[in-house]
Amino acid sequence: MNCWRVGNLIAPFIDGELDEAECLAIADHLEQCDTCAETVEAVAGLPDFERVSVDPEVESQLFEAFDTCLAQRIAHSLLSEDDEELAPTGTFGTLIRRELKVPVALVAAYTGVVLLLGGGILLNYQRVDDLQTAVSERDAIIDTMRVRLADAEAGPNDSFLAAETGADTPNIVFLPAGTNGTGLPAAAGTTVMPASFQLGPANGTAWRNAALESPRVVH
Amino acid sequence: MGRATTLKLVPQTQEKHPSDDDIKVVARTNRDRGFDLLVRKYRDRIYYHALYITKDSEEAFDVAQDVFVRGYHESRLFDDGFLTKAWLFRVCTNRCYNIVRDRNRRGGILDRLGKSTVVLQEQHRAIDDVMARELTEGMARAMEKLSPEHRTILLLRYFDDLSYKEIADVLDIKLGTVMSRLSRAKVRLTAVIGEDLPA
Repeated sequence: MNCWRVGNLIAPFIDGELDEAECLAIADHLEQCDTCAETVEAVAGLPDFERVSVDPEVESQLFEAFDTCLAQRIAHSLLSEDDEELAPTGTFGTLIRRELKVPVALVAAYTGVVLLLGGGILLNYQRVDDLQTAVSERDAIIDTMRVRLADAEAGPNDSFLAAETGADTPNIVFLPAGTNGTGLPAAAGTTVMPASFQLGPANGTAWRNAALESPRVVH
Repeated sequence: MGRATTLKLVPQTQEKHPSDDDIKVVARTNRDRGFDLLVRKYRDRIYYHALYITKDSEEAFDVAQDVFVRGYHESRLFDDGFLTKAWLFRVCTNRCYNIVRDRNRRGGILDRLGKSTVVLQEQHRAIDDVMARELTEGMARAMEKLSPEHRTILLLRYFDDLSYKEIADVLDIKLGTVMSRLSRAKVRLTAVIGEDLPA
């Protein structure tokens, strides 16, 4: 332990903040060093600071006002920062709530009305959209049905079958090539099935093959 | 460890306050109740700490208010392991020295204009008068002759009654630095008082 080290440890030595080993080391040094001993003695002899002799009544008024002012400042800080998470709820919050009461109520009421109106309008818009979509889908279905009905009324495109059977639903009859079903040669303009089409299951040809060839028109 | 107090600046409050840990327990169920207890426990110490640095009751009042407003918005204030007391004194000390620095830069008269607090003028004036008398005599006068660094650490230790560890947290310095700075400050204070003594 040297003088410089002791000079750095005077305060904790006097305050009793050092461990036993350090205290003993400093004590040993002080026994050998008069300069350090005088310094420690002088520092230890510092007088107590006198208290600030404020009138208790003045102090009481000051700190009563302190709480009120603080509540106001916190309330203003909450309003300015719109910090809802720290909304006052407890004992100290009573004063704060008093400050916040009117503005918060107004803001809450205004916000509520805006939300209700806005929500209603949005809801109505959504409903109108849904209705419009439903009507469009319905119209599309009606149009499709009309087209199908018109097609059904117009009959099949295979006029040669319709002409032969005279029925709405063609009754497909497979005839020998070059005949019109009456045993007479096919009239001009009559559609005649190709030869392969006229080969049915009777002679072992698959029906599905017939569809690969288009009917030919006799002129 | 025990402590031999040689300086006593702080007006010791007679009121019994719960410990910081107890306040944190209360704050877990009711934050505002915990904050209320915290304000009641530290408002006078923070105010007087600010008063001894700013030498102006109204400014000290404003600073103390600022400290607690910031505390109210500090989410960690009641967290386990958060050094609440050190945080309050650190914020207060920094704010005070900002004010003193600005005052020295701009001049005191301009600072008096546009102050937000207009209440308690009578009380502030009374306390300022007491402070002015204190500063003309005894230990307070000697303290004024110290550097801000030495004055602050003496205030924190003997006025605010902070432990060495708490001072280290407030000033953001090592424990060893607290010991050496406090020792040098006391030696310097002793010398200043010796210079002031009539021959």
